[in-house]
Amino acid sequence: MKELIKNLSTPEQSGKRIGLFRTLCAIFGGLLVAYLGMNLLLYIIPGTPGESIIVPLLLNTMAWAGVALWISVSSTKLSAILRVVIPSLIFSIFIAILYNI
Amino acid sequence: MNENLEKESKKLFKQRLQRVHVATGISFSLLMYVAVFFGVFAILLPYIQVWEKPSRHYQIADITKIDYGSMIDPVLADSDYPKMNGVTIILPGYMEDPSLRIRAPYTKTRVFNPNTNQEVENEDDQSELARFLNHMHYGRPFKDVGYLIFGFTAVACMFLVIGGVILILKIKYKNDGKNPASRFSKWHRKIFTWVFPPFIIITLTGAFMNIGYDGSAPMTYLASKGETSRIFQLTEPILYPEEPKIEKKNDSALMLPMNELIKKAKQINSDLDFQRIELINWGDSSALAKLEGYNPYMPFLNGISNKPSITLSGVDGTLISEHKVMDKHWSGLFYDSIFFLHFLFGVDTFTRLFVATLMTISSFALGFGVLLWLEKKARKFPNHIPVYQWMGKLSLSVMIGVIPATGFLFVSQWLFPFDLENRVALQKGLFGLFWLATLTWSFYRLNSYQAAKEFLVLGGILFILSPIIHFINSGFSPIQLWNENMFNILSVDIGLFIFGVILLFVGIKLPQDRVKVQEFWAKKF
Repeated sequence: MKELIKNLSTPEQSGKRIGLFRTLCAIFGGLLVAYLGMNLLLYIIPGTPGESIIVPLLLNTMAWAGVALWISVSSTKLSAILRVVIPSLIFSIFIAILYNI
Repeated sequence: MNENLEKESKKLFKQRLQRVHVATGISFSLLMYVAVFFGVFAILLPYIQVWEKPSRHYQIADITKIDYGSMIDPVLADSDYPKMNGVTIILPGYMEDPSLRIRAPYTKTRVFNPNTNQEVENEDDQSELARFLNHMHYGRPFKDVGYLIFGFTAVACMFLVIGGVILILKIKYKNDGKNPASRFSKWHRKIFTWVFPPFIIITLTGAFMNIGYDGSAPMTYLASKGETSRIFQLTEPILYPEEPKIEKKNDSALMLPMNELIKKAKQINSDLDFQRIELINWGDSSALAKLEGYNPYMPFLNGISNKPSITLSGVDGTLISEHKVMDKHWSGLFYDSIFFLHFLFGVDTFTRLFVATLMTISSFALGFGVLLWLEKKARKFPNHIPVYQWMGKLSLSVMIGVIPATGFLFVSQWLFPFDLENRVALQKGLFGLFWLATLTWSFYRLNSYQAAKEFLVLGGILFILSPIIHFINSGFSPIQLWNENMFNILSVDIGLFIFGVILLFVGIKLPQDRVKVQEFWAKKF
């Protein structure tokens, strides 16, 4: 396990190869983070469900693009995973709390 | 040590940023180009829609002088006309269409010429040129697969725009390089630095329309706290609120003539350009007429989901309800303002041409991006060797080959007789075949510049021919079109002709030799 983390946290020599790992993290992880983030935004915007859903629904795809970019330029593989996992967890917890209020 | 590390990580960050930009860009470049290329035609859709149909060859009547009643009232008086599900009347001038149209479910649309008040024969599905060009813009010919692919392309496009802006901010690019690659890079950056704000908004709405609703179920479920997972159930009451249902009284009453109703509505709100009238329970004493319009004094705020309207009673014309532009919830206004740049509903010709020009320029910028990538591949070889590379050939066919194929669409529109069976299917099929043929041709020709030259010349000839064929087969000469005030149609002819001439000129001037081409890009550009 330690070996794996050490492996993942070593920065690559060159940034000229993106690699499958970062690509997958960026595309699917980016979608997950963006979608959860927009769900949280939905709860933050005041109004009835119909009123507050329009803005997050519209911005969803742009958020996906932005988050995917952010993940794909991360310095190590480990930080690419963390950039997926940590925001997803935080957003999920908030969504779970707000859903039950 | 620490300083070195920081420098190293900065370098890696810039390298990665550049690398993802190039990889994503080249993967989606051709699809983006197709969307932008047909998008320019989609911007001009209202004009093409009128140009393509013989039943729309008359001037746009002066709206103050149109006698609506003498066209609409006889249709509504006909007891066989199906009015129970509501009747929609589309007024002349809406989307540059000079005709007046009366529509009801389960019956043929009736089309009238408001200059003579005579009914004209609608082409229906025998003429769909503008429609098809618009469908090519968002992948509709391939149904769901097309929607998804073009939707993902739009997401990639936003990824590229965001990444590109960061690249320009982070890396100090030099603009004075004298080789072709640095010229391409310069113009690719320069154009997009200018046009990226409208570009990203238009792409955002494009992505939303193609894939925004797919996968909205979980979000809807969360928003409604588990009540529903169908998005329209939530958004429809906000974006497209339905009128309260009115019980029919099941009697028959005398209806107010259409001219009276429109005059009354004009008195209530003179700012609106009325576009359509919806008739509910017509002929019954509970009859309503809802007049919808566009308020040109409040662009960006109405026109898409927000349609200001005036509802009048059909019996005596009393005001039942009125919706103004600012009555909408702010999320609806946000929706309209962001979609406005994409749809351009209700805007004048100048704005349309302006956005069309912006988009044409950005299609060049896309082209320079691809050229930059190709040039970097090609410069490994000495100048006297012709470079034969699959991506170069494919982009040649997609980006330049699409021009003669589209030119063929315009030529065939007035070349094929209108009673030809399967006319539209034939047009679409031949268009596809033509486009594929350019792919074969570009792989066949060793010298890509020669193939490009041929495509441009062929495209130029086809685009020049299409207005000429239109003049001959429609029976309207340019002078006649001018004299009879059909400026909309004449301007399409002129536009096609000018476009053809430009293509022909570029096609003839374009150098064929690789050495000369390199010189051209480096020195004159």
